Amino acid sequence: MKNLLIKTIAISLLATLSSFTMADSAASTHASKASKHSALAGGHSVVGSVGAAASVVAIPLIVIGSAGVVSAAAGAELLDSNAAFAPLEISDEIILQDPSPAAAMQ
Amino acid sequence: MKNLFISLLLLISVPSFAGSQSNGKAQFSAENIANFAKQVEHYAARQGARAFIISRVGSDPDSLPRGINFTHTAIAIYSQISLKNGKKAKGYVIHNLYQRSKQPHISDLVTDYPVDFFWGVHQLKAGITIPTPAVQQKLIEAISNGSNKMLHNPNYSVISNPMNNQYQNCTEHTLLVLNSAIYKTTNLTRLYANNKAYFKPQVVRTSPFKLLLGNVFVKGVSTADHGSKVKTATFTTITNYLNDYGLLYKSVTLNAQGKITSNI
Repeated sequence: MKNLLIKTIAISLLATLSSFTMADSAASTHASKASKHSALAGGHSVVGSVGAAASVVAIPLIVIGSAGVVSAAAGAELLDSNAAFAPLEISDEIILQDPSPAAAMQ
Repeated sequence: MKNLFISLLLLISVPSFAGSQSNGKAQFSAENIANFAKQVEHYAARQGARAFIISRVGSDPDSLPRGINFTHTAIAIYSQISLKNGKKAKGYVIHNLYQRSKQPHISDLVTDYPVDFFWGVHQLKAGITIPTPAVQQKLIEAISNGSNKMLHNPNYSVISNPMNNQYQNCTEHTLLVLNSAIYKTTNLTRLYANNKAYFKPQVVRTSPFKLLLGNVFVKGVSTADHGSKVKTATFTTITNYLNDYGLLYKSVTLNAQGKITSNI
């Protein structure tokens, strides 16, 4: 009976810990961002250009009206009007975060 | 009898939580992920969304506790993006709180892009919650003035309690930034008081046995900030919160086949 209890506790602990760990390892043991860049660079059927261009700066935009007057967030007014729901332009480039220093050295 | 007992214990231990990490292994081809990411961007852009709440499924959906449909939530802001090749592009920048892969009890604020965001997903499915234009504007201002950085608590628990600041996960951080924008404050006492008054979190329905063991043995999982019931913020509860107070324009789930399902 004692052995059964020990065995049961041990298996339960393993099962529990492995299910938690699985969620983490699914993220942490994966392909580096360098491989993400190379995977996309080798693609043939990606919508838009396959630049995998890493960004350096991003500025939030508020676009007013269909004319697409662009301004930074400060001072701009996004009105509760039809203009606020006007479709926005999305560039074709595939944009990625720069790889980590370790991945960049590979 | 012995086997039945062991099997039962194994069964109650099966559901798992997924953390919010940035370096997931691709489960789909690069082409499929990139195409889906563009699909999400184009959908949001067609609605005129300058700021929206975005969510993904980062682990096996069958392993998630009941009522939790997404595993990571962040804020997407329509931006002009300067590229390394000198060009300027227009698209969404995603402002995340990510759990560290090697120190899962710690988080960092990271900006990335839709392809990065969806890279490790287990389903090509996105939650998209678009607040009213007025809330969008306030969200953009909050991100622009660094409120998200001021509100960040790097002590991470995947099931953090959104009613106090002991731990923070991606969704609690998103809720804090949202309320910081709405109330124009980064005063945490006020923000948590308002969470208690107005926000209805999701009860996490999973085995107490597993929670107890996870709490003791797994970094990044803690129940120390909870009372008798474990409740956390989710994409769905944030969507419901916006809807309850008339601050929601639209919330949908979009999949790779282009199927759009309303979340409300």
